[in-house]
Amino acid sequence: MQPRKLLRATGIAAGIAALAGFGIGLAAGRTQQPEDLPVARKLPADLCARLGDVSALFPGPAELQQTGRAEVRCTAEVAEAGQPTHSEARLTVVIRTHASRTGSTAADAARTEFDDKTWPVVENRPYPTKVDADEQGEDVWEIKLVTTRGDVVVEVTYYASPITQEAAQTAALAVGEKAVWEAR
Amino acid sequence: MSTTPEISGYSFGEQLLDHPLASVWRGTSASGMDVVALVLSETGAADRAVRDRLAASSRIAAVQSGPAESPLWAANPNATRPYAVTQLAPGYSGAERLLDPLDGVIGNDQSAIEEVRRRLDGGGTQADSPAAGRRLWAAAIVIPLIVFVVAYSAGAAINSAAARPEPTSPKVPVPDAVQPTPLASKKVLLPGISKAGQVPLRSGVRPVSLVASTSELSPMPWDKLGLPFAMHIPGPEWLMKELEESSYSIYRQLLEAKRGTVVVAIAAHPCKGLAGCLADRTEFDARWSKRYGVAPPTTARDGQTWFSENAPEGEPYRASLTRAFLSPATGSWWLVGVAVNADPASAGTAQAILNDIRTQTS
Repeated sequence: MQPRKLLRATGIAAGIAALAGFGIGLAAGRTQQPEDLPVARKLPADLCARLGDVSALFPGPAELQQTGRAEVRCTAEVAEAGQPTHSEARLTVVIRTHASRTGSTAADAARTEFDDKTWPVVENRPYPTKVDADEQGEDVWEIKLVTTRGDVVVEVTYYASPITQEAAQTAALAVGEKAVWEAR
Repeated sequence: MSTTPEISGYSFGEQLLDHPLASVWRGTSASGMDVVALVLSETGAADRAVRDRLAASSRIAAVQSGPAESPLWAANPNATRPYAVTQLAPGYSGAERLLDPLDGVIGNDQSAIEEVRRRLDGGGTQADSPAAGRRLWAAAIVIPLIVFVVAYSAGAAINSAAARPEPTSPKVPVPDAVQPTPLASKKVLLPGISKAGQVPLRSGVRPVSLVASTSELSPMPWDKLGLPFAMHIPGPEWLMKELEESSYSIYRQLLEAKRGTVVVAIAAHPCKGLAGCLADRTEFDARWSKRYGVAPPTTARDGQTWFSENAPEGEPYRASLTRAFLSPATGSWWLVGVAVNADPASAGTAQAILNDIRTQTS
């Protein structure tokens, strides 16, 4: 093709591209601003240690071990194998922060995660709280708890044997609300 | 200046050289390609020798073009005005190179040819070179793309600015943070039952029969049940399921795993002496029978043994046992509850197990 014809064709193509690009951009285009990017708040590196001494929830000495920063996971376990009695317990605390999104706040995102849980709501707590109590045998309970405040969602899973449901649930609630406080 | 030559399939617009024997023209082919044509003048066309020289040099140009020479595209030495046509390619000599040999003296027309080349190079476009052509094509593709991207960005920016919602407040109010209650300082677990560890079979004890049975158990011991007594493994297909250990009782289930013909539910509760066991028996029976969904024994066999059985003809054999005993292995008193449920054909095995437990808890 002759250069002159090529230049003319290029000009026509550029014109069509300009019209099409502007039209599509106007109809469906979205620009991303820094505030649009989901960046969740980082949590303290010593968050699990801040929860305090959890030994009373176990038949023997126990210390929470932390992994993660954006989603902190604190775990501790005392297995029955090392105990003189038939006793054991496991505790997992997951603390997660949410980021704001276009059109919604971080608290909304956290609340959505909380609402997704279908467990029964626990009334008269300082924060929205749901608990699932699973009796896995006589005096054997696994308590699952979720609570939220602002951008924070805390999930607690506490399994213990032997224990009463009330004691297990009270302990899980205390741990969950302590985690919310420390992650505020 | 010569008149514009008329050659079928070509059109000429610029005369590059007017020589006494020939003129050189720049033009285009019917397909749009730039060409250079050498056309003999009337004087040249009238000279037979000139016509022959053009024909000879045209044949050479057609079959033996050099490395920087455009090959001959068209030629007609027999036309009224004989001509030769080549493609116009910058850096390549075209039909103008056929001018020099026309007068039979090689080299005397070099300056005229160079003038033609100068005009061709100056007037032509560098874009005709292969590299320049590629650059032009690349630009022809890239420019519309860049224009599209820029226009899209502009449209998207306008759309986003119009559609961006104002920062919102949470749909649900965020509650104030509340100073939490301290974590428990006292143990929240109930006291666990001490482990019995490995308990050997009691040897040398007199067998005690709760019920008549002709079945025999294997001689292999089951001594790691976590219970305060051992027992004989009924057979190779038997399994032990460790159920839970509450603060009150240890629960185990033994079963014939191949066909499920016999299920033995066992509970063991530590108590303080025989008197403590007797005091605890009612609650113990209530707990373990509820745990397993069975009926506790109702008939006292002796001061430490309670036993019931239910064996209607053709229906499953069911029996339950509660026994208070001092475990030599743990040195403490225990209440043991046992419930068996067996197919009629396996009732003998269930009875042998009951007798074995009674014997091992003597």
